[in-house]
Amino acid sequence: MNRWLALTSRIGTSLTAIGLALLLISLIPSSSSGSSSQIGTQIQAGTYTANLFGQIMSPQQSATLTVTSDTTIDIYLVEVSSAFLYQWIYSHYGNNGKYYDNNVTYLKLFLGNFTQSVAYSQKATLSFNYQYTPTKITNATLIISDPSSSPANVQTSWKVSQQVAPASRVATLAYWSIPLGLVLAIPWFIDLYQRRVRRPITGTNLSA
Amino acid sequence: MAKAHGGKGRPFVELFASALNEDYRFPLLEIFCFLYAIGAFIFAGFLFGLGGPSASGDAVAYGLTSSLLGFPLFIFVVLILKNVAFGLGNDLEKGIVQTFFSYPIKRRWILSAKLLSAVGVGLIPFVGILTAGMYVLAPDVVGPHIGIVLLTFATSLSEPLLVAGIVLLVTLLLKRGALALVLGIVTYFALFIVQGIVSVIAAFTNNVTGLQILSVISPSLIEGRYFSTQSTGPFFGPTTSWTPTFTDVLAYTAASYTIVAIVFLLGYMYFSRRLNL
Repeated sequence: MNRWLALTSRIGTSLTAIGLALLLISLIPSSSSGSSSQIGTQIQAGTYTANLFGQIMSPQQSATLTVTSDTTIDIYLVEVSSAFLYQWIYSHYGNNGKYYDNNVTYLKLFLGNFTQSVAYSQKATLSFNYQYTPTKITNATLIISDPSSSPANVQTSWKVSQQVAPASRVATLAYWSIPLGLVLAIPWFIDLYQRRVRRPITGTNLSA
Repeated sequence: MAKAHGGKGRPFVELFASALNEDYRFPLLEIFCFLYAIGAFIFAGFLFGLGGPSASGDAVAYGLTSSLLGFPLFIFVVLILKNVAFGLGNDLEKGIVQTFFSYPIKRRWILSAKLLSAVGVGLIPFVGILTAGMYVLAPDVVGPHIGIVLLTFATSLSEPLLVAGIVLLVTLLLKRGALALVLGIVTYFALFIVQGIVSVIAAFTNNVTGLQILSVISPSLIEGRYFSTQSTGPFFGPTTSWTPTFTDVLAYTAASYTIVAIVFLLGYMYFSRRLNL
């Protein structure tokens, strides 16, 4: 077999092996023994809350967040702590003496200044379901704001589970690398087949 | 004659291809790639991140990389020692090296072809797969701190490379692979045990002289010390007995690779001038 074809084929078989390893990793279930909570609360019109979910998370953790409401609400998942949010608002707009000022106007000003910290957002929604896996060690805080003129009754549930790796990301890589590796290894398979076909028959000569 | 064979490059490529074929018989490379890919996720940990998001990005990147360099590094050591000891040892025992000496190529290029296959090619999947695995797991940790990730690989690899150099020398001297391989594995584990003892002495008595000396061979010790003294995490409070700087880490790493280079140079000199078959 041509040397370059042999090299390509070995790259292909190695890629297939890596893909199989990734597939195996993606099949490892996440731990179900993580922390979880269910909270029901009312958010007043024109205010927000950042106290329903907040944790330091690593890429080997995954948070499943579910929110339902009877009024349309805005939901943000931000990669800062709630303390940082309140501190920032207090230091910039704390003229009225309130540390926990939960006016939605201030939240919008904060989000406008920290757009890169918003991991996910969904506006004007009645139900929210999101699985969050961070890409670094970070704070994760769920913010629910009610910009409407009527109060919102909100049900929130969250669960943090441990995982070896982000399954979806790893599985996607496996689905690409296995077929690609097999395609690159085709010359090797053909060569193997041809060698088997051409192999001379050995053993006792019965006609002798 | 060299020109008739297409210059120095062609015999070198022939030797390199032959060594590759010998060192990485199917499915050896595939098994190692599989193990590295599994190891990249199974052994990954964020210990240095326990201090929270306030822990420095460099410390988190170091912690993540060093968490991977246990089992995967061991299987890499097994691979390169096997390649150096058995690859070269078998060629010496069976007299294949004599055939290589008849090629229109200098002896040092013969050894280079063998080592490039045995060590150089082995390094590519090791560093490549582990780095890519870490990137998949935590892109915002690895991407901005790729320098620290590569430095951690460098500090952790200098000791295995030193052992590989010693195995090369022993293989050339004894002209046998099996004994050199055993000696290499024993040396590697002996260094591992010595590191443990010296670290315990340093922790209990605050006498860090042994740690400093051993860091010349194993710069991963000084790098670990550097990040542990930097960290304010729950397990790694700052210590006063020895607080190395980042420049110290780089200097020790450079010194360790100088030692590795000297050992390999001795191997080259012996192979080129003294090796009689």
